[in-house]
Amino acid sequence: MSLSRAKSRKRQRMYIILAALLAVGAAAALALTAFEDSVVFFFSPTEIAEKSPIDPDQRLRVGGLVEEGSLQKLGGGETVTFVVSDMVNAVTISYTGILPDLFREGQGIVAEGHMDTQGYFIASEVLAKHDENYMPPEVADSLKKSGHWEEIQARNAEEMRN
Amino acid sequence: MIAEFGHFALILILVLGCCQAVLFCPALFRAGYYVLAPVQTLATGPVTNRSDNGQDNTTHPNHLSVWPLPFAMCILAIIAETALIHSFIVSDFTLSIVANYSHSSTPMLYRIGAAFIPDSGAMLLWVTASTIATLLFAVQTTLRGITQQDRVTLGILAIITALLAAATLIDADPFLRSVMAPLDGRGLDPQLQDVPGILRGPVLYAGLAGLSVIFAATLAALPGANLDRSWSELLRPWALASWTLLGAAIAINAYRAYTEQAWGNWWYWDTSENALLLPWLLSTAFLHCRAVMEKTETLKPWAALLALSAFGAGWFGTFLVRSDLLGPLPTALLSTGDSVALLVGFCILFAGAYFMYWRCAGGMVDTKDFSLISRESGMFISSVMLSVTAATVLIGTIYPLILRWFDGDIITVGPPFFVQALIPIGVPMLFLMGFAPTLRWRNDEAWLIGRRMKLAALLSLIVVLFVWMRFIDASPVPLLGIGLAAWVFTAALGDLWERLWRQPDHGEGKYRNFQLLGPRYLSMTFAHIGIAILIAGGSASAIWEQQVVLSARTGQSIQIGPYNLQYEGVALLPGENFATRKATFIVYRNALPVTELFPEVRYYPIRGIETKEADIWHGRDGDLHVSIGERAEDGGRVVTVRFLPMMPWVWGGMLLMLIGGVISIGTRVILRYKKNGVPAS
Repeated sequence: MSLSRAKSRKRQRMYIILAALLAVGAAAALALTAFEDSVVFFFSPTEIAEKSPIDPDQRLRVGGLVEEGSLQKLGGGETVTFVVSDMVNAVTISYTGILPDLFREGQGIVAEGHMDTQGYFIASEVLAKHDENYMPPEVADSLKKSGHWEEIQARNAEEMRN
Repeated sequence: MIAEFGHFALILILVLGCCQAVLFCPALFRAGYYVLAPVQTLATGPVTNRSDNGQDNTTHPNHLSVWPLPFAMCILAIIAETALIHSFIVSDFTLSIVANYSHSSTPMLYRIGAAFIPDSGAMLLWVTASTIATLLFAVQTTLRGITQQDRVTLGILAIITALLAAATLIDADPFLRSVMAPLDGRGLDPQLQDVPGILRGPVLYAGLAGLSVIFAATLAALPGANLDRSWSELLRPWALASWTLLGAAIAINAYRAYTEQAWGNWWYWDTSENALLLPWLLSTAFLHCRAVMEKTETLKPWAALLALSAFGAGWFGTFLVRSDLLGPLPTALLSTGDSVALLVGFCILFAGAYFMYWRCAGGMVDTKDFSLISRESGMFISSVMLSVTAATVLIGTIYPLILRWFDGDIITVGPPFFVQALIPIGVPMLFLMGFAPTLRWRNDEAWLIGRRMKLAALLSLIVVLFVWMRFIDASPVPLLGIGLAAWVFTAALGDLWERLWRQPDHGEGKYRNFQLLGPRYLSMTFAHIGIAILIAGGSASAIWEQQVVLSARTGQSIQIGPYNLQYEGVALLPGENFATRKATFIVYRNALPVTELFPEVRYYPIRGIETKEADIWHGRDGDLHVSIGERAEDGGRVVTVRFLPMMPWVWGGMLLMLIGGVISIGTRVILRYKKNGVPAS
């Protein structure tokens, strides 16, 4: 009697472990499928020029340096446009709302949003980091690819000295 | 000169940590022997070890007192911390950390706070917290009667402290002097000049130090498989304290993001937030497993794995944030990217720990069994789900890194991934959370659960139907959140009612039933209700959130939700170390003025930075979040107004969870003191 009870206990524990494993497996599968449609790719302006036209439904990130003198206010001023470049190609970005505190011309930024059919980038979020000498790593990479990294570094060092 | 004292103290901590590790090493080597010995002897290992454990108390030949070394390290850490804070107070700009993060015009509060914010200061803070935790543990074990195992624990804690001190000295030494001292500093980043931002560091590192004690005690218990009731009782205050502290760090971080960032979200799923969430999730799982361990001495290997992983997640998360591998972080604190020593220390410590676990897990035998439907299995399954949640968050956090290494593609994983991946785990977890506290130990019947839970199920269905009927366009995910929140809430209250009123009181009055509940049950109920309220608030504010962005002119009125805001213009005012443009909004509800809001744009001349300070009103129907931006072309000013219904519920839920943790720690201390040695339960 007690032997069979111990056996059934053991079997029940096996069920618990099986259920746990099943849960882990299912969660992993769900997590992997969630990756497929919720991952946001980063493109440099050059990559955007190469890959255009880009599907307007695809969310993506664009990063680069905000070109000097490119910031323009539209309408009442709540919508702004600016040009972001990697010193080779450039993308015009339009954003509605209040820009982050560290947004400035000449600064490296990253914007998240989608391309519209005219080739403008409609940003829903603009990211700039909490340090004025900071360069987002993606932007630094794309500048290195376009071969203008040293130039920008030298300019920043110059600004630091002044 | 004082900074050099601090530097010297920090180096001495490293040396003394090594000394402590070596002094307690005989025990550590003996522990290591069981690990490296052939697997066959493992079966007998625990028995022999356990038998000398009892005698070691009195007959150990070199019976060193354990507290002097931790005490000395703690004093040294306090000296180092004081020296750093002193350098900030007197603005000693020859230290490069002071020159980079402070300025002679920075207010005193933020000057002291700036000592905790940069990497090097945060590392020093972690070292300090870790030495204090070591000292507390030494005192705790001395009062309880020290065993050989506790010595090993102290040895491991010393290794952790030494590794952290070494990482501080190598990666980010706060006491380095610059060759040429500037006349004045660069000032603290204005975005970080707020009290929650300063508090976050100390709270987080205190929590991590608590986790390190749990880690060390588990590692020390592994070789003899001594994970018994006394082990879990020893760890109870540590588990509760670090759970509460990590939760507090998360709450502070969320509130800070909400008030400081102009767009007023409280959770972004970015790296610095996930780095806080990971150890919290794992310590929650450990908290549940430890309770099972203490009651029934089952689930030993699983509890040990959780104890090791919680600290691992904390350390790894700190490394991820510091290394700055993951791109622009909207809410991240400053990081310089030097963190190689931290990573090396992590690899050494946790490779050793998991190797030891791998060798010893087989030696742990659960003496008792439990059935599929029982409190034990409910808590076990919930801890599995919590760790699966943690694993998902970890995958989402480091996936961009992995992809960058393999493919070179740069991606980000944002909120959509976390929402999509966590719902399938979160839904059953919350469902379980509703009825698991009512389960009986060892064995329970399914039909009994059904009978107990029918009222809660009915009530939560009514809530879902009501919300769905009334707001037919609500998307399914927040609706699901509200339904589950109602389920957890009604189930927790129903169980409380059952225990208070429905149980026979044996003629001693209902107050006796309340006393019988015990702090453990109360704190659990508080925490579960807190989660329910948090989820309800988060879901509701996601459904009913409204936002208006416009260019406003003086006198213009803005309609949002039940409120009407009148813009009264902007005034230029001087601040302590900034100049501010302060806007005034009068908030009307039903044509009656209820409050005034003053969002600002501040200009900090030291760094030449403008920051936007939103102003928030926690109203009865929700939060009103107003921020202002640039002056527009047509003479107006860009204004963003958000109405977030039920947002105060989010903060209330977080607060309830913290209260739950504090109740459990507090009553334990009080009862101990009152009854003198009788443990509270």
